[in-house]
Amino acid sequence: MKMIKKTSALILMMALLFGLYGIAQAANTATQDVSYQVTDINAISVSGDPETLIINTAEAGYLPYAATDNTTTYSITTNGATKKITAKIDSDMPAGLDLKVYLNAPSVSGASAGGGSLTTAELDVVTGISPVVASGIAIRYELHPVSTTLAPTSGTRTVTFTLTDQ
Amino acid sequence: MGWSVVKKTVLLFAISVTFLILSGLSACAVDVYAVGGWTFTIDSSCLVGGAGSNLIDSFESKLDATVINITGTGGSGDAWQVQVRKSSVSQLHGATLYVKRTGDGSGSGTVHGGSSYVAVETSDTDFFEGSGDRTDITVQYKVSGISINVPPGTYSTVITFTVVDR
Repeated sequence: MKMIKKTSALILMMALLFGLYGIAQAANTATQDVSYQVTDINAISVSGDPETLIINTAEAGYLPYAATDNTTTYSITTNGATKKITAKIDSDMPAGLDLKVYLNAPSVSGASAGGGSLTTAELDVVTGISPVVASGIAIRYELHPVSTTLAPTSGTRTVTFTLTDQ
Repeated sequence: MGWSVVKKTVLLFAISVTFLILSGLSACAVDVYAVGGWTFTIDSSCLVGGAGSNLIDSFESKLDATVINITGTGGSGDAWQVQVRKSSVSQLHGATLYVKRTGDGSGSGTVHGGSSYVAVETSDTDFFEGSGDRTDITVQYKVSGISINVPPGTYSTVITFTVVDR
């Protein structure tokens, strides 16, 4: 019984000792947190405005030839996993004219949706985009006459491209 | 029997206190305290040149993101060394974290080393050293290697500064 008491006292003392020693040791370190937050990065830009699309040639018996422009490009940076590019114009085209746009996809990500006629509603032009950094990607515009009753006219439309969730 | 138990208890207590005091005077004498830390956000404004460009190569904190105090030394001749490490479960998503000392602080002792960036690993790495008590030693952080492939989210690690009495 006496031995048990001694042993217990010794264990208690050592526990106290190591406990205090541990507290003292803890003061030899200090910690700091370093953290960063990555937000959604969806950046898209175009190289400039296309040339004026002028419909002025035709072959007798047919609708006039479409006017085309491929002088502009777009650039894109995104960290999103599934993104798409949409396009729209600020006001509808006049009757008898169809403005189309075609965007190539970045070489390593996404697929061209094949282009289409621009309206004031969003049109998918590139889909399935994953994280990518790319620039100088081709844009082509086409202005098509779609009616024989088309009268001479002119106008300007603002095309808005949006990089958004698919 | 009672007197014998009292004597042994007193002896054990004396041994314990002596050990504790000696521990405090040797390995546990020098303390390190750190205040601060670093949190930053990566968004579209961090692109080198807007859409079509990558994120900037590295991100740096302010010069005094963390302030370290070394206290409890045995005087200006008591040499010490500060080591640094990051948590083994670092969640920096492949980025490399660096740290450097940007100020000497003040006090009776000296401080030197660590004025160039040191990569912080998951094991202790020598950072800077000195002697005597020093306060207001400023520290700057840098993170590099964050690519556009890092998905949106929050990433963090805990940095531990350890002072070793030499």
